[in-house]
Amino acid sequence: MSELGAARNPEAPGWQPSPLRRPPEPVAESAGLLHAAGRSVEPPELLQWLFERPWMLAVVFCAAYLAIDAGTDVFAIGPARSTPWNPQAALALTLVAVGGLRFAPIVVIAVVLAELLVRQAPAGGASMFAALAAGLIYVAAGYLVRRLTRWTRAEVSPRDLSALVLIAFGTSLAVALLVGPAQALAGLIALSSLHLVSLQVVVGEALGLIVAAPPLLLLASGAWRLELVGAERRGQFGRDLMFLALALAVLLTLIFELRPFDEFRLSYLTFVPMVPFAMRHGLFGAAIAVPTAQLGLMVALMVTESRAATAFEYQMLVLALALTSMYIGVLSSERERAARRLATHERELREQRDALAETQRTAATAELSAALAHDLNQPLSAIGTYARAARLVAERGEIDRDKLFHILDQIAAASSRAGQYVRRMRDFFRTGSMQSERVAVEDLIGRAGAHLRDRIDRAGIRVETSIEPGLPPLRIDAVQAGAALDNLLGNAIDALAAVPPPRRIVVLARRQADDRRPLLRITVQDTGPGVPEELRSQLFKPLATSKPHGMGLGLALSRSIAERLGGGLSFDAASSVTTFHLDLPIDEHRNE
Amino acid sequence: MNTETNDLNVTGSWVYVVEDDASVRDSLSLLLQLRGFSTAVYDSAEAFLGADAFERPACVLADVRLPGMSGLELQRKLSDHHAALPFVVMTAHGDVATARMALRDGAVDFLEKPIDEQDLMDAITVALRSDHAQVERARSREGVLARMQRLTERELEVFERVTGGFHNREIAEEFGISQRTVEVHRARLMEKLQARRVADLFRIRFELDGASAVASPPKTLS
Repeated sequence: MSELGAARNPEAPGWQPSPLRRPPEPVAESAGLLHAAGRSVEPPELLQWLFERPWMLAVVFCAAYLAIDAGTDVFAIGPARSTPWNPQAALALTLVAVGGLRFAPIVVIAVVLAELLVRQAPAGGASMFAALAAGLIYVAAGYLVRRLTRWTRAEVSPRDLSALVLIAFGTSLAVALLVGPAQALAGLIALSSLHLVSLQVVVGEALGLIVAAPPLLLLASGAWRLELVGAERRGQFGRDLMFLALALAVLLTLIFELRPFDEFRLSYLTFVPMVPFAMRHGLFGAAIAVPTAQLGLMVALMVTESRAATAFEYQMLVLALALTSMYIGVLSSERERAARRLATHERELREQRDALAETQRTAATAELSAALAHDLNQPLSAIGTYARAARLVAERGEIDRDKLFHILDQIAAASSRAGQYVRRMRDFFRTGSMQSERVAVEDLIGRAGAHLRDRIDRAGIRVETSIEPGLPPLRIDAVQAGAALDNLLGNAIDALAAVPPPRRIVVLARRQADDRRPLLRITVQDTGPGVPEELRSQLFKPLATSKPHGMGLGLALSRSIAERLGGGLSFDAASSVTTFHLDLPIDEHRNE
Repeated sequence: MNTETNDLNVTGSWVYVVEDDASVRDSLSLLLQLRGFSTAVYDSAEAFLGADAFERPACVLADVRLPGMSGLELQRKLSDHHAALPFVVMTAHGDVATARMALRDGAVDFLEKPIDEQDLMDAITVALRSDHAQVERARSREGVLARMQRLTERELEVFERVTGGFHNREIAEEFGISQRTVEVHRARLMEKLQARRVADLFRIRFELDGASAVASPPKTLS
């Protein structure tokens, strides 16, 4: 089953490769996801078929119950024939847990029949009454498992395992309290040995439930599909189980047949193959391995013709083995599931991040070209309009030469403005072709101011510049650094449009103490309304803007320019007025 | 009262240019002046709104993207005003959404930069003609209103009944006066309203009902 399952899984029904997503490369991961999410928990078809035919189910169940009861009726102790493990109880519990209370009568009938046929109890006696009560206890236990745990419907947690163990012990205690006194009443056992018989019943019942109930519950409900740990290992499940059986066989032979020491001294060795198997194959692995070990032990005890009392002593070992293996298995399953969820989550996160980055890139490109078109269109529009005006002037009989010259000068100016803009954009886009030049700080700031002189004057803004004396010249691409500075000043001018005069911009240039390298910090402050709180975190992202018609690219571009130049651009949130810092390197020995 | 303005000469009317780019602003103003329009230029929407009373007829030629208040906001502000100036918007973006918004808010036209001269002239002409018509309508409505003020109470009532489609006989019955008296009232009010025919009265009534800022609206007939 397992090899086929692993190979077929990616094409399993319901699996549809989404065209927008990357195809899932790690098959194991996608298959695991499928199990966690897609597969519903359903009993096997045969069982469903039987559920619809209660009479047939009753016959099959009673037959199976009697067969198991009879089959495990070895090492029975005393005239009451209490056996060291009662897996048939697990069968009863499973039927109610998976099928529901409607099958309770079948369970009770099977238990009573077994008492009559297997132990040949006299009909109507106290032991018959005890059997009836035991059947009802099994029904109650099954109902509790169905209501309180997730064994039959979802992934099993350690809490569910503990609940099952508690229910198993509760059931066995209840049965022991019934069976012992009943048998004593019937005169089958002496009152003096009541406590011993009761203990034997508790162990036999509890062990039967703990060993057999987990695999039966998982298989009958179909929940075992959820418990397969690491889909890539399913192909190895059969192989590993074979190895386990082999290892157990070798160990049991060593312990019981070769007997280098007293068999008890070596019995702990059975833990050695069980623990790694449970680790590797999770709860379902443990649920299969424990009955395997139990069967092996029973066979070994039978072959060596041990005494029944010895068999009981070994049941304690199996109990410890079962609980240990199952807890290890359930933890391993949990860990595997958590790791899988984490991996899925991480992949989704990565995909989201990639998609976001891609969107931003696309948007930035679109916005950038729109900004480029806008800034080129302005001078082009002016040129066209001036040219038409010039024509109108020239068409007149009496040519106004001064006017014509003015217009032509304006055309030339607008054209050179457009050319300058194109050059600047080209420089910006052409990565790595930065032209370093020595430029004095005063010149850099002066040029930027000159670009914006017109707007500054119109808005009635007072610009205060303060430059630390004795600064070394910068060795940077002056056009690009100027563009970043232009942008900061332009933002300041725009911000000031929203407030009444007096309007003030402060530009400071001073050496910045940095641990690693000397930097020049140009600070631009304005007395505008400030940056809205909600915008601060994404100030430097493209498309973030507080201007109703801004492109939201300026600061993002300026920062990338500054960083490309080896500096940085930051917003000073601590300052009381809007403050931006443009850092530029002043390394004299910079060679570019 | 002539609303046929398609061949109206609009030269000499005012064009208010609102544009923040100095060269674009200057070139547009120059071209429009050479084409015979009067121009006034503003570098922002705020500057335009702060200006004194406007000469009419006129129109606004504004860029969409302005520092501070945008061109679209300016347009909205002006259209709230009851004497709305016709608006022509320009953009260097050519984006459809903005154009649609501007046109929905009542812009006459949407010009893409670089601006084609013919498009500009067409848009300006349409805008100015529409303002001419608006100014004309306002002027005629004012005249009608002034004349209506001169009617007596009874004459106003008779005016309403007549324009409501009632016969003289019905009016006489309603007020308990003779038909002859109704005819006298009617003749006098037609004289005061400078109406030659009954049809003129209907047109006056129509004009008054259509006006939003009528001082004393005629009472409705039940």
